[in-house]
Amino acid sequence: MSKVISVHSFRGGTGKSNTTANLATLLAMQGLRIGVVDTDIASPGIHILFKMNVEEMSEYSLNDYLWGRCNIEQAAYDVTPQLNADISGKIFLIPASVKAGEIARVLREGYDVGLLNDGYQRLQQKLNLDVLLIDTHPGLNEETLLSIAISDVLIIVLRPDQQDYQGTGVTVEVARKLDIPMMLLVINKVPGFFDARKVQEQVEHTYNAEVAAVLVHSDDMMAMGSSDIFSLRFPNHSVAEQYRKLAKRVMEE
Amino acid sequence: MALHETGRVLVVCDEDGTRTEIAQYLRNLPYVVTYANDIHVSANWTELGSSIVLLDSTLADDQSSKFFALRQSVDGNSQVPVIVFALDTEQQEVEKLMQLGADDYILTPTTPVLLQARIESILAITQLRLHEHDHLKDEMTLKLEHDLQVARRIQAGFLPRVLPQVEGWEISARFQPAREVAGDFYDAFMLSQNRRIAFVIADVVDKGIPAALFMALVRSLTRAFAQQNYSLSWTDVLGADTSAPGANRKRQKRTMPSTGTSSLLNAVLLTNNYIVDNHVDDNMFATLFFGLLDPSNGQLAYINAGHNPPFIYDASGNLKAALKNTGAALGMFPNVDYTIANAQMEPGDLLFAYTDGVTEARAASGDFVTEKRLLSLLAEPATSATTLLDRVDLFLQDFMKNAVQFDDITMMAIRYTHD
Repeated sequence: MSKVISVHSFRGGTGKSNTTANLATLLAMQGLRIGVVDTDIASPGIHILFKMNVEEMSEYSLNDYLWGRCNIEQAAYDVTPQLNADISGKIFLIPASVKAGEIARVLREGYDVGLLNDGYQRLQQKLNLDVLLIDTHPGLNEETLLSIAISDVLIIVLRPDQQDYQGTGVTVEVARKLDIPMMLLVINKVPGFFDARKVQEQVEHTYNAEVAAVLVHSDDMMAMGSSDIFSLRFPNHSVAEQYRKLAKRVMEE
Repeated sequence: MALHETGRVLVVCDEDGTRTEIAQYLRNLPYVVTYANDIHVSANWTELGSSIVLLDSTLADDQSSKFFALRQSVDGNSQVPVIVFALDTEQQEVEKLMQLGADDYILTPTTPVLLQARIESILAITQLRLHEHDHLKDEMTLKLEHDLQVARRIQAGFLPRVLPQVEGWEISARFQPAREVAGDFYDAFMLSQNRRIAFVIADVVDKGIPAALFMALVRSLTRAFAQQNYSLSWTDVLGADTSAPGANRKRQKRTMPSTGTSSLLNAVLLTNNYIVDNHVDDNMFATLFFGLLDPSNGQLAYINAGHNPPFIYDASGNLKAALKNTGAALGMFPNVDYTIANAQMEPGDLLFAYTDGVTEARAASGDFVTEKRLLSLLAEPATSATTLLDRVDLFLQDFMKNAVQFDDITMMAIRYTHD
């Protein structure tokens, strides 16, 4: 049985997809087989980090699976080679479609969330995955709830921002109700002049939850603009070090 | 029915004197005259063959009241016209009797010719009225029959025109209403982008038009709710109270939605709630079985809302499972906690679902088919779903022969064919 990890943030733009992509890469570098599902169907994006172009994605996407056009494993792409790094494991990405019509259809018709649950299980089995990473849609909706509910680990990404603080409180509460075995907070985009340890203490105290990483705001990260996996290009950066810490923590029992 | 051809006049009076006077006028007229001074004796005017009643105004007040009451209460009397016969000095009495319901009056002294003219004109009017009434009645019956035919056609439209054709599966159904319209229905359609076969069999617990209307409601709601893409079962976590003892244990109990199960739950739960919320006073309810089949592996998820358990037989005719109740019939209780049960069909297995019109079908002797007879019919291996239904059909025809069919008969058979 593989480990299911959901990465969530109550609000958008927190660095959720970057966290997911870096985590997937670092875990794959340990020789693990990783599946990454982009369930942010309304605003997909993680495929950019894995350097997938639109032509490649035009074959099958998560949407095609939901509409019954293919099995979910047919929408899985091995993105390991294009990362140009020494990765002994594998990363399979199941992207969501970026076609306006496809997104509109989801908004219009919705879909049976039961398909996601069955799809996750089938992926783990068919691709022989060690870890299934779910990049969720911000906020709370049904598929996000489902993803959180079936997870072994829930990672909540937040910025030191009042809006994020309040929203995170909601997600934490829900995760507690769903009885998630491991819940980890990742604080992102912390201004360099902040005392990282103090921020961590404050957040841990507020939510009574573990903070697994504090990522200090990085111009290098901003400059990269989600075009690559940060940990691969700046392995010695403190942010990369925090990501490695997170990767280690999620695999602990 | 030309009443005035018989020309029978009933004279109701209580004074011999008046009778003599009326008799004088009537003597030379072409009518058969009957006299009555007891209004009870003359209670049934049509039985006496009276086409018109002449009522003497000198009748005591309580007698005349009784007279008109009898006219109302005895079937057919109200169609016989009543003419008040009075002295021209008795206008007040006449007025009273007209108010009580008399059709016309004639004041004496008069002449036989004038009396006849009055009688004939009233008879003519009555005749016309009756004719119009019959005509309206015929028209209404025709319209009702026509409406019923249309209703029957519309109801037939609620049944699936074609059953899903899925590789490796054979689905067959029969439907025989007891009357013009039925309270049973069956349905089968694809769900979750053709990944699941949904099938439904239901029985509204009543007959005739009320049951048919209710059937239309239940069938439409289940179909529509099944196609809603949201799940009810566990978003409740957002509003749940975690402080309650054991609240966290809910996770283990909560079943994660899998493909189509939200549809299954939506269809049954929301339909039940709708009926309970909106039609509780109609005292209507329906038993319903809703199955959800994964055609790729024979896994069956189902909700049985008070319906006769469908049976699963293996290829050699062994009874493998009876898919028993998982909740109450639809429309009985609010917020029923319907649970989804599971079963497994293997290649060669046959599922048989039916309504109680099958087991409760009666022979002319009054003997019922019974579940026992049905089970022995099903136990014989069948080569296809259609063959099995044919077999039960033939048996029923033979069993019932000329007996009246009391209830709708509906059956469905689903076979997992060998690939």
